[in-house]
Amino acid sequence: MSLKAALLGSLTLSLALVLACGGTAAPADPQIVEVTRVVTEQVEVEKVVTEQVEVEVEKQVEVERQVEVTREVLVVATPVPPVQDVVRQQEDPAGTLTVSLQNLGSQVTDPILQGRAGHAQYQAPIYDALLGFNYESQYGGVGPGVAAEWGIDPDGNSWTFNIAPGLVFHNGEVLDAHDVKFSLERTMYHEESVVGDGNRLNRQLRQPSEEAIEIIDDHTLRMHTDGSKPHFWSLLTRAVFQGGQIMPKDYIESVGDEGFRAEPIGSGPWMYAEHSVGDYFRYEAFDKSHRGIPHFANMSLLLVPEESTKLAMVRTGQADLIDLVPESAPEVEASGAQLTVIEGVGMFIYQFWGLYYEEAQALPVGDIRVRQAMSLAINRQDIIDFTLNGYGRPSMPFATFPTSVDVDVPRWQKWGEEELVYDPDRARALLAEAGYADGFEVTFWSTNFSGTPYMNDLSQAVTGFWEEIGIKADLKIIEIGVFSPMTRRPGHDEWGEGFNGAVSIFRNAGRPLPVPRYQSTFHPDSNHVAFGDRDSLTPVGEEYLRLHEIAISERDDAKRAEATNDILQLVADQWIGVPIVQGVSLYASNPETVGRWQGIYGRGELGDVFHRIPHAEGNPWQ
Amino acid sequence: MQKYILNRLLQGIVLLFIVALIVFALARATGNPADLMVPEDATEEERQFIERNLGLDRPYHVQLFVFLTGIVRGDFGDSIVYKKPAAELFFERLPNTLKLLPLSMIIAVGVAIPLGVIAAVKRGTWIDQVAGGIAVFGVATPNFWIAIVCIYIFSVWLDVLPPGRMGGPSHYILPAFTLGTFSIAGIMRLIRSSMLEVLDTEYVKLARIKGLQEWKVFWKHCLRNALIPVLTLFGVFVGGFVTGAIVTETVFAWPGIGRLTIDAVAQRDFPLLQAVILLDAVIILGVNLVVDILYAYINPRIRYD
Repeated sequence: MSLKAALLGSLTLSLALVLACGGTAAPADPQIVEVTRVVTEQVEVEKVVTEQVEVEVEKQVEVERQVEVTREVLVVATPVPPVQDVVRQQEDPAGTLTVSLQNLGSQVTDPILQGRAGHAQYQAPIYDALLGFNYESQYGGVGPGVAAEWGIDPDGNSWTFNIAPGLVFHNGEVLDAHDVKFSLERTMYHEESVVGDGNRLNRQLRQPSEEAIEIIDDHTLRMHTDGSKPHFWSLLTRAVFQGGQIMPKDYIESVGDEGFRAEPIGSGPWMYAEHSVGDYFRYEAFDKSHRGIPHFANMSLLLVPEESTKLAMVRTGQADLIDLVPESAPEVEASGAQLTVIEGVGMFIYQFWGLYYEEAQALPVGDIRVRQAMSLAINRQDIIDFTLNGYGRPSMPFATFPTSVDVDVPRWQKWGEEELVYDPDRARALLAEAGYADGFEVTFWSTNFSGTPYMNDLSQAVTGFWEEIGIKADLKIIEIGVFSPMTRRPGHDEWGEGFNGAVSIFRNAGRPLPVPRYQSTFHPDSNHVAFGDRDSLTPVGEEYLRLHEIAISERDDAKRAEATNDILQLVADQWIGVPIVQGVSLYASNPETVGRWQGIYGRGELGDVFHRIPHAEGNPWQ
Repeated sequence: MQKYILNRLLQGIVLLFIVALIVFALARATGNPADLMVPEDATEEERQFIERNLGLDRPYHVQLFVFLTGIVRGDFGDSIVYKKPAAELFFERLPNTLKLLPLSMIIAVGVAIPLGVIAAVKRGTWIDQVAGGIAVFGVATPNFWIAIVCIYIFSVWLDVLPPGRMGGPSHYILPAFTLGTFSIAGIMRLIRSSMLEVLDTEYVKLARIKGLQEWKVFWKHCLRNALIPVLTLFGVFVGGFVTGAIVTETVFAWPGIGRLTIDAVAQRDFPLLQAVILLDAVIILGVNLVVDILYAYINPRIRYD
């Protein structure tokens, strides 16, 4: 094959790939799925091509522009739509999808005004993020969003994002690189912004960060980071954090903030219709979203805080879909409603506080053997079976999931199976070896975090197991507003303050990037400072800090992964942040109105899923 | 009377000021909204970023000054969570609660008055005991339990009424009944004891001696006077309805001021919480003042001079 033919063929494949990533329509015929698979397998060929430059394109397919593909493209795979999406393409949006949810966050239409996960429920239908989800993968993760392709540049200090062609906002305006730059800067600098990711993004960009976001052309941006930031992409996707939601520059500049908030415009699969704070959000299907056209013509998200009322609503047909807690699952199953389980959305842990203080060394929990014994005393399977009604999963190490980046997943799955076991005899032996055969007393602080109102039940179960090996746990259940300040500095800067010397329940979100979560607990500048702060860093803490710097900045994938795995091992060996079980999200569907659907691994909210939920007809649950 | 009203208004202002101080202090004693607005693992820098944007980094005395001077201007500040003026949110939701209150009161009064009168007239009989049992049940049973049982029976089992949310007339029945039961027991016991007192008065005996029919004696002459204490306590019952609405509106997903209150508490939305409680207090004070004034007109023996 001649070089020219190879180039043309490969470039055609690349362009087809770009179009497929950015196209609005998923295949109408299942055969197209096979085509997509073939394309995905050609990624390596594409890399070769991209090292060649400036090749004119023969316009055999519709091409809007020539895309400069960076050398180290991370993700260019086109999501393969599941069966129901293929079915969806054969029908027009019809009917109304009514969803009752326990929480709708702040219920604000402007992305910069919502700081927590509520955005992934009620804003995600309206707005696309710069990077999206990998719907194809069993384990979710990052996929194309507004950017069809992205990657770190050869210099390692900048990232290039190629905006998918043909994207439009709900008002018909074209979405391009200017909108992306405007949105990121608005998230970072707007005086009302409460998005923590805006702050993270600002810190990772070269300063002044207004100049760090460079528009190459209408469909290409380059972002210059402050040194090597191999995980920079994680700040721009709902798969990891919250940042990267794209808003219409021209529209906001013409109507102002208030106008935008009254009539929000995004590019997602649902157009905003109306909302009433404390009551509902209503949407209409948008037929030009690159994420796909919704099955339903309209959607209502209803705020129904009481679990019993939600259950009654789905049983009586007043709601098509509800979220629920594990406690309600048996009732739902008995009623005939269909359960959908979303895996990997989080992990429940318990955590020791202030063990780096000198005073803590005299405590029983200052001894690693004791802490390991406390883990061995917990029958996690019983917790899954009885406390969570079967809706929990065995855990991997702290903040680690099968989808974790830079992590040797098989190794750590095996670790979970071997180390997070129930072995009360070994636990008693370890306690005796440490000199606490008769047990001891410890305080366990507990609260229910938003969205998981059964954390106090988990705490009771854990402390109950500890009682069986002689550890008398004084379980103190407090309200979240009192709990939070005790976990944050300066709430525990002195011995005797906060939870120092005690244990508490906590949780980790199911994000595919573990390093930031380790940072928030173990880094000397973090809130939890589990290994001590800068003035009191333990030797373990110093080693953690060394590994952390590699894990967040090393460009070499192997070295970065090695450091990340070393962090996991370091933390696992300390038994300070100890996994209990992995949590799931549960939804119940009315099978007469809603067909079989699936969520995204690790993302408990459905804002990126609602458009994929089909009608009951043709999408049977069994 | 004018002097009395003026006096009461001044008392009300002092009371509102005290309520404002208590709400301001207690709200902040229970936590910081920034803690609930950032993910649990957010850095201190991210939290401070949000605190700064919300104005929560200012000293308490500055926040209090801003709050109190705002009240004088009728500005309760913007909700931290919902980003709207707190008073606007309150008045958006108030009509929804007010729609529920009349039906609740009709149910409460409609059940409690006949029950109380019959219990008094049939004192010591099984009817009195049953009425007493209903009163005890009403007092002892929490609203949320009644609400959930009602939903199960009428929505899930019989499928005749919707389980929640605002909508057509049928949507009002269960929340109004639940809210009403809260007051049935109190009103019934009050009517019964007042009736017993009135039944023993001279003018009732005279009416009977004159040969007036019993039903006329009970329902026309006795009840009218027995209702005076109920009217006196009407202001208290309104307060009970407002607090009862917190639970009822939460269970039935009813977007009224009860739900708004619990949302404000749960999210430590200081400006909203302050506005809701102060405006609730204004309403309750106003209702009590009106009741006191009406009381003087209904019962000519009462003089406020």
